[in-house]
Amino acid sequence: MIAARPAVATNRTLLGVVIFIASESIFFLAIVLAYIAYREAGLATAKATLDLGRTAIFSLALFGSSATMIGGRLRMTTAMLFAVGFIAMFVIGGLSGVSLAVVPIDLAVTDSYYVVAHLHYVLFGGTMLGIFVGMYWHFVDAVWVVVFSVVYLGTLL
Amino acid sequence: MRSWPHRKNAFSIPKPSIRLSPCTALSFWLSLAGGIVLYFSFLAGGAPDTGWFSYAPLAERAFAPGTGVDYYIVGLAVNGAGTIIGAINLAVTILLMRCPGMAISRVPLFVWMTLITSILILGAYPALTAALVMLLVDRGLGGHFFDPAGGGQAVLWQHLFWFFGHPEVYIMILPAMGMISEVIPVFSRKPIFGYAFVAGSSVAIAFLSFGVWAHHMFAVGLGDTENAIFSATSMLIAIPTGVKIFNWIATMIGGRLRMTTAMLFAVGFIAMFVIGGLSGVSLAVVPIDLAVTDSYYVVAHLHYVLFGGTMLGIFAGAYYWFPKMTGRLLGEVLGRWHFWTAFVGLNLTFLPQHWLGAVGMPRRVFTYAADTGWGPLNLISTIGAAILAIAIAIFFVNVVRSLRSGEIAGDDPWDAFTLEWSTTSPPLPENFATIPAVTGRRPLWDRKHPELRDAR
Repeated sequence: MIAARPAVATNRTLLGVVIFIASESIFFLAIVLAYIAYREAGLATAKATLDLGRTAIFSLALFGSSATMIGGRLRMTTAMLFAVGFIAMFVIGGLSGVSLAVVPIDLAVTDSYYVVAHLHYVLFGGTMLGIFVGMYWHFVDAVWVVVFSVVYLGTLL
Repeated sequence: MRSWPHRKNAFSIPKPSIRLSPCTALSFWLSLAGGIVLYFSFLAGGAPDTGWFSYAPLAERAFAPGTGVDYYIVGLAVNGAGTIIGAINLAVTILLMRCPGMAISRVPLFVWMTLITSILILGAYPALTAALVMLLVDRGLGGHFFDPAGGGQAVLWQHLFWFFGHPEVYIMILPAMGMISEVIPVFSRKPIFGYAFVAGSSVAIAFLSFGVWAHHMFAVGLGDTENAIFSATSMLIAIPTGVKIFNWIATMIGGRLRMTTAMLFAVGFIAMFVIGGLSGVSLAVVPIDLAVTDSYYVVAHLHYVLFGGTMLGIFAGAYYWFPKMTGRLLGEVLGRWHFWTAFVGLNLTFLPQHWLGAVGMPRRVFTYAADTGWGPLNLISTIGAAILAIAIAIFFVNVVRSLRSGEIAGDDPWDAFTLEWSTTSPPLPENFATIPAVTGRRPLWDRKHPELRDAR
């Protein structure tokens, strides 16, 4: 091999993640297409319930997190950041989980946003594993760009 | 069936193997877990009773109030996750982990078919997962994706399901095609005729298979234009499939055929698959499909493809690779009995169903009136099914007997061409003691016959 080959043709983890993201994009595409098919029927409800301004601010935070990784020393630093972040967030989620295992506490907060907070700390922190993190994070951003445009900006039309 | 490529590819692409990869384990256990969840529905208040395609709105909570469909959703989603991980694993292994000299234009055709199958899985399964998520939202959270009363469209389920469902039938047939592409050259004592065409036609099949899904929906009423387009794409797929058939036959022409049981099954595959393929082309014609849709004609077609095709191909692979997997030959005498009972049984079972469908017997009926005249053909079909059951029983008896007292195979009982036969039977933990040299498409043949090496 004389010519330099692109990283995706030599690094098998990278190729695996790229293939995974390609496959995932079909999943998200199917769901977004279903939303577009039903947009007319639900437009009035969407306009009444979706908060465009606040979601735009959240979106900036999301895009910011992705932009942070661009230009940095991406390889180990970012992965390490996410790995450490994963541990910290998972501990919070785990502790709130233990608190929910206590029956009186659960009776008090069941079906409340406390449970929502708990499960998102676990799921959001927990599923972002190891080396998948960097690329998949950008992918989630890209999906969000589509969802934000179609669902939220769509209410302006 | 889907775990097979993992085992076989580990031999064919000699590099420190994928056997111990956590991806392989995750893929296997997720697939198994999904299956267990699905079968657990039998114990948990009833199996999903909405057909394998689980059409909406029948599968919605209003019409399927039991838990069966929920188990279907979760089981298939978990199984699909395992399948996708396995496909990523196999694709990356085949693309990046080949040993020195094993160019992609030299890998065995079974490996080629595995690569194409993996790509099909990666494209098709996410559509099913998306549909399952929407159905779960409908059933669990009061959504209306597939509920016309709430503004949804039941036909969306059919689109998503068949966008998965048609590539899925190629996911089932391509590995079997790969197996007989290994068996036929070895028992014809010739290299495969038109390697590039066998591999390339699979790429064409994979590409086209994502554009034919609505041929399952001709009777839905999509419109003449849609039906005409999907009819045309469905007929196009017969071309690359036909290319393969001619390549296998051309491989046998002029060869010194050894009719082992593996070869019998491979030849049986070709004959049966041609019948299933031709009835498939007839179903791609919209007026014919409208006449026989949801009838036994369709049942006959799909069983010629999946039993006559996939199952006979798997049996060919089983007799071919059993000695490599276990160190013992799978008995040839019982093998002959197995082949002929399976061959006669499958034709007795499924051939009459063409006529039953043509005279109007619908699918999925548990009985019919005596004056329909469908009795005699159904009796033949029932006798055939019993013979098929005997065939499968013979196979399992053969496997048990051969495991215990089968003839010792040695490393290379078939005088074969590919690298898995150069290692011990069963193989070493790392498959090969040293990484073998690959000089062409038939590295073991080149080693045994240096004076007759393949040109490339």
